[in-house]
Amino acid sequence: MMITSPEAELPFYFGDDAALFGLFHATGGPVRKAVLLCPPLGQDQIRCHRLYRQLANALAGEGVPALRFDYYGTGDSAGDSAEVDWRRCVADIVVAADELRRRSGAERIIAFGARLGGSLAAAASTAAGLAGLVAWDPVLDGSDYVSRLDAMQSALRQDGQRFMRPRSAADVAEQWLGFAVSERLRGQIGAWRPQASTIPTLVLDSLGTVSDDSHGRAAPVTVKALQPAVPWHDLNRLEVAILSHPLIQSVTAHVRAAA
Amino acid sequence: MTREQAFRFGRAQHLVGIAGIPDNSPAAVGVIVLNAGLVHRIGPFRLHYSLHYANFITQLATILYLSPRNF
Repeated sequence: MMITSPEAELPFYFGDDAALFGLFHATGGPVRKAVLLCPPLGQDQIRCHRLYRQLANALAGEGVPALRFDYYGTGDSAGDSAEVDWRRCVADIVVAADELRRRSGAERIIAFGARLGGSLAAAASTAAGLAGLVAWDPVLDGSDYVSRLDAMQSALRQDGQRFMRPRSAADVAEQWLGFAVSERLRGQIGAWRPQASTIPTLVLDSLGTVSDDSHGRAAPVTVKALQPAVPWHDLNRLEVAILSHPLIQSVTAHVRAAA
Repeated sequence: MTREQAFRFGRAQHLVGIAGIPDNSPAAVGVIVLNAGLVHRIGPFRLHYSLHYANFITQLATILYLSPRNF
């Protein structure tokens, strides 16, 4: 594997009003395909940040350009955290895919996303003209995800390891794990159910909850088990980065083999 | 209005920073915000982003937040 120099990672702002932050992992020479890394939301995004960088570097090291970026209202992009909106995230993926095409010259954009990042990429797949999708433990049942985050938030505010006295529900209303979540976003996530996949999709499943039928059969969907199980919802691991060499190896191998 | 710039810097161009530069620059005071542990540039719950824009409102300083390692 080639080692990419840090100079090959270019930070910049793009999109309307230059509101979106991106980091482009460049490669030399013409390419046919490139990978768009779609982040999850909230604390998942924090915990996955380093892994996304490692994955982008691994892809660039194999000659595949990659773009990391933040949705409006998240990360280094503009917008207040309370403004995060599902439809805007989907629209941002479309803009980011075009930006990646422009910067890399690649015709075929493959998206990668962890958790809600995989769900958002699936939602954007047609509009963004994606050639493929790799989704890591994607959220397939939005209402279940909302219930889990509500439960974690409730446990967190009463956690004696973190607070000397339990926080009141009103004190931390409209938050998940410290991140603002508007009623609108909560409703949008709660209503999320994936449509039948229309692009070749690889689901990397560490939770053992995905069947090949989950995405329908309109396009090839492959489910690959990935060990160990990722503790996405373990309150005691909230401040622990999520790193996975098997994940990086699986994604790079898949992209290498993809058309 | 403000100008926000993302850039690389350092001896080996190994650092990433984002500078928020108020339109009334040059400012007398600059603030450097470092990342802490696991959380990259943006800070806990995007605290650094919020500081960044609070600064835009008050126009007190040029502010730079950066990631020495974890960008």
